[in-house]
Amino acid sequence: MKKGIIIALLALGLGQVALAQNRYFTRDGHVEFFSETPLENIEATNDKMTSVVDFENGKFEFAVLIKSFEFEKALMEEHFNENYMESNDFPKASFVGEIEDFVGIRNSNFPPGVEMAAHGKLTIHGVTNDVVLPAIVTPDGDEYRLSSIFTVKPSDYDIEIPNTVRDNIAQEIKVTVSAVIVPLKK
Amino acid sequence: MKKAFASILIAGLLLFASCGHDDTSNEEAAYTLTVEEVVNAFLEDEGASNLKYNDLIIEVSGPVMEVIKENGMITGLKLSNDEFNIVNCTFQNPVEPARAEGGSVTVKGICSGFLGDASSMLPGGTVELKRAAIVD
Repeated sequence: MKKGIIIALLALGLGQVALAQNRYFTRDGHVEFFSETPLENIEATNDKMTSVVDFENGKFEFAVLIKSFEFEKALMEEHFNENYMESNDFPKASFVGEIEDFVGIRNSNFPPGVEMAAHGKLTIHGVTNDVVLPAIVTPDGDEYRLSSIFTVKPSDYDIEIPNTVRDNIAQEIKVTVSAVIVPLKK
Repeated sequence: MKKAFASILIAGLLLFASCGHDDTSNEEAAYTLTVEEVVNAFLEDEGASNLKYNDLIIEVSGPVMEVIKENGMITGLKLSNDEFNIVNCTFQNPVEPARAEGGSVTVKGICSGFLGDASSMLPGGTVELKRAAIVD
């Protein structure tokens, strides 16, 4: 009986290790956004994005802390957090979804230039929308390079832009995500 | 007279709006902790820790787990003994590699909060510091 329990526990443990080994992750992915208008361009970067891709089934997620975005100008960073993103109330932005036909593309060793479609839920400012994000995965030795470029409309996420600065902020913000993901060993 | 005052006021406002960030290395830390202490604080009560530490400069000591380099200079460090519960900091100014040698360091930076979620495929969590500096 005891032997059976030990074998079951070992099998469970090995199963979890195997599960984790199929996942690739980062804790220092790069996210930047860019707002372009005739009056001014605004950009911010965040180098602490976490992201995981499960290579068994194409499940894909990433998350960032809003307060970790860095702006060149202190006042702009303050306005971004306090007035627009309300980052004390909504500290994180995240995507949780699945890459379409990931296993087939993985089995073809990620042909160069193949853009995949990640279907899932993007949450920003406490509002969650169903989205399809483009994603490119490129093998690089034991690691993989992950990239995605997409646009976000502040109005889709209830981010209010005051009239006084409406002409300074683009209606669509370009978001660029890039990361090197490595095997998750736990 | 009024016109001159208005001009000075506008110039002052524009100057203020274009200001960069304070140099963290010249600022006093509000709290001094070890990596373990700050990570445990967020794991135990994220909401209370957000209120206590976010937007403040905190000084954290601990073992270097990973060094992030760009063009030969250090731009960030991960501190911890535990691969999945860490402090992740990015530096305000690139740091000479020699300053992060020795296994353990003390940094101070602005706390942005904690990134980790029990429902995530990624176990553990990260306390994030931005515009950090090494404390000698």
